[in-house]
Amino acid sequence: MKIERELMRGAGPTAVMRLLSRREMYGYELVEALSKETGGVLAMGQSTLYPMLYNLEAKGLIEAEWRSAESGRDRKYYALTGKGTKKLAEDTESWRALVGALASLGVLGPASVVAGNGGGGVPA
Amino acid sequence: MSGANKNPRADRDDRGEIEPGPSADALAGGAQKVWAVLNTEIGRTPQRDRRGHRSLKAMLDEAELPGEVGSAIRAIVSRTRLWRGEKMDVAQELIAHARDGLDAGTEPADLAEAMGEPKKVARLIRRAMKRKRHWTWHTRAWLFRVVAGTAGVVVVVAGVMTARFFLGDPDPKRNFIAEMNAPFLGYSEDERSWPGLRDVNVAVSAAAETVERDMERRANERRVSETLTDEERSLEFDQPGISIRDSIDKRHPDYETMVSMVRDLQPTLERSRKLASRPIVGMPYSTRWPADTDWESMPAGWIEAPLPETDDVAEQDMLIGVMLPWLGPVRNQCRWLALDARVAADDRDAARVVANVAAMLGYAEQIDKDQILISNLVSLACTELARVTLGRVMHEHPGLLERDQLVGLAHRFGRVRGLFDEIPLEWETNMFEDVLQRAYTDDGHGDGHLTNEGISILSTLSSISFSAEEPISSTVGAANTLFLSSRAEQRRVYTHAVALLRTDESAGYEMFRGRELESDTWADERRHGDGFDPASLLLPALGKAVATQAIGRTRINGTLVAIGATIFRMDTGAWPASVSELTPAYLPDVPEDPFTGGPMRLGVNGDGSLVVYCVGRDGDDDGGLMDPSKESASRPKANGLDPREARYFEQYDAVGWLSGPAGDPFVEAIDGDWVLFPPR
Repeated sequence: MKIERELMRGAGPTAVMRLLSRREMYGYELVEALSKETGGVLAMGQSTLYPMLYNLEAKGLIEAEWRSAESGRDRKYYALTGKGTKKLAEDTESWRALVGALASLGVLGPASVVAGNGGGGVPA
Repeated sequence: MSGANKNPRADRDDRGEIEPGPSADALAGGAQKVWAVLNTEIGRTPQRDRRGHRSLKAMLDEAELPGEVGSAIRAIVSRTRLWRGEKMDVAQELIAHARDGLDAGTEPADLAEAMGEPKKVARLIRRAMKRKRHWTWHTRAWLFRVVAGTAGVVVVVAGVMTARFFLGDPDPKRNFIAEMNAPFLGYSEDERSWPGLRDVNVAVSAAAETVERDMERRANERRVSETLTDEERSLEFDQPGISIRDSIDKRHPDYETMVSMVRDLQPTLERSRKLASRPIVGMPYSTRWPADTDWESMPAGWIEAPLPETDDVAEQDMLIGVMLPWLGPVRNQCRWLALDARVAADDRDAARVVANVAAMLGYAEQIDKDQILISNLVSLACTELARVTLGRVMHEHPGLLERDQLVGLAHRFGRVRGLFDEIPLEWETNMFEDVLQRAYTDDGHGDGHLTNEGISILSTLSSISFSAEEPISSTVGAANTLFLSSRAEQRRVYTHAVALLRTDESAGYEMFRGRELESDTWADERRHGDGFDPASLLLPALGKAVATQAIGRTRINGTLVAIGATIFRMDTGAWPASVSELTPAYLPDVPEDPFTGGPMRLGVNGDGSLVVYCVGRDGDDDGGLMDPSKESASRPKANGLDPREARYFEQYDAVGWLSGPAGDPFVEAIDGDWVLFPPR
């Protein structure tokens, strides 16, 4: 499933910060994790990921460090900062509220019901 | 995670090895220290930057990426237009990403595709990376944008405004000189004092020139022989010759010489009195004068006749260039008539006294028909001479003038007083409009913009100068006027100034009771602020003119009171107790004391003579006397004379005293009344 650009712009940073809240990760790891853990919904190429990482870094939400892996390969590892942790908590709250609101409208009901109503109806 | 965001490749050369420094043997002393500095992070940065491009290529070669992947990375990085170090950082990360992808089994084509469209991705990366830069860089960037933006706006506006100078020309249409001459075209030669005025001016000038040389020679002889007494020296110093002939003191060594000259000039002065009775001067207004006049061969006092003005408005000079050559000769005639009136009084010739005073008032009325401010002020000066002369004669020769003569003169003074009720601005307004029509374009609806020619015209009116005291306002003010102010705006400013002047006039004598003259305040602000504009250039110091007129009216009123009181005494045998006793039989109404708003005052001196006065600047009634002890040392004319004469010095710098600024020590030092009669 392809997510619309505007939705991705809102969800992408939160998803990345969420992954980084677990542990430090480098770029390729993030691409893989986003693809696998979201069933491909939030999958993004490096053309989207790296500008997003640089923006988060510019805002002080994450920080980066070059480090050599055990394989000897140099990788840039990203980690969530304190400011990023706080921001993630706020964004998480916002998303919960958003999802709850959409759910209350039935937007987040069973897919079959929505499809059954032609994609525009409300279940009886 | 801690520490700097440090690229591990930063300290490596193209081969990926740490650069070895020069051996200690190869370096000696100071050179070793220099190398130590250069080998720091800061010192080595430029070297990496200089080699940045080569390092990218080397980095990609070293990574041994499939061709399409390496090309995609190179295409993106090279399009980012980032600093070299930033490019290297991005490239390094993308290479690492590609290597991880290849290791995971991703096809090179898929990896290259996932890189995205290079131009678009490069733009996104560039934006994000620039956001990461240090705040000082962002500050400099913003400052640069602001400065560049402002400079751009200024350049564009200046360019547009400059272009406007060359995109239009003035189109003067109104022939103001013809308009100003028109009212006088219907007068005959017998109704004009010109050119007879020239003849009498030449005659008195020739006589004065001869006598003045003799007087100067005699004065020098006296000074050399040092035979002067202190009093004589004072008189010599204060009254050095012919220039003050109308008020020359009888004790002056050359007084009799001047009296003799006046008697010899009787035919000329009689002709002058007749000329003064004509309604107009009648010399045409013109900007064109003979270019080849041999002034060396012309007699003293000669007035050159102007050439007929052209009807081609564009060919005419500006109206402001019109000469008024009759003003000086008219004032000169009044001085001679004033002296002759004093001589006539000594001769007990009352008719000649009256004729001379009336002639001075006649000249005052003649030149006021110019409807020009400067002519009005000269007219007031002529009236002043008439007033002082009459007052002196009345004071020094009581009983000389008969009742009918006094009544006749009172009516003449009353009529002339009306000339000073309002500042005439017809000519000034025409001059202003003439400047506009020659400096600005004309859109046909009263508006237009300043032209290149206009800059030259305004420059001739006043130099465009930089004021060191007020550098910003003088520069911005001039620029504002030159570039932004339109013809309509200039007219609005002028109209505003005239309205302020009329407001000041309608406030009457309140200026003597602390009211600020709005037109003066305006003129000061214009001069120190937006200064360089036709309105403020052509309407300078209007407030002073309003004050001068008000003082002149009050003095005339004092003369009317003195005349009324004198006739009252003729009828009743005693002076009136107050001015109000004169109305309505001897005076239509009681004149106002400008300093109190109450009635003007009169009194009787110890010698039984009349004194008419206002309370003066200090606001208290001193009985018509000045306090000699408070007199300023800067007034030598009263020094050495009878202290009672000190009360006469109200003539001296009267405008400064009467309407001068509060707190001025010169102004505040004076204690006493404003004595209007007898005049000095």
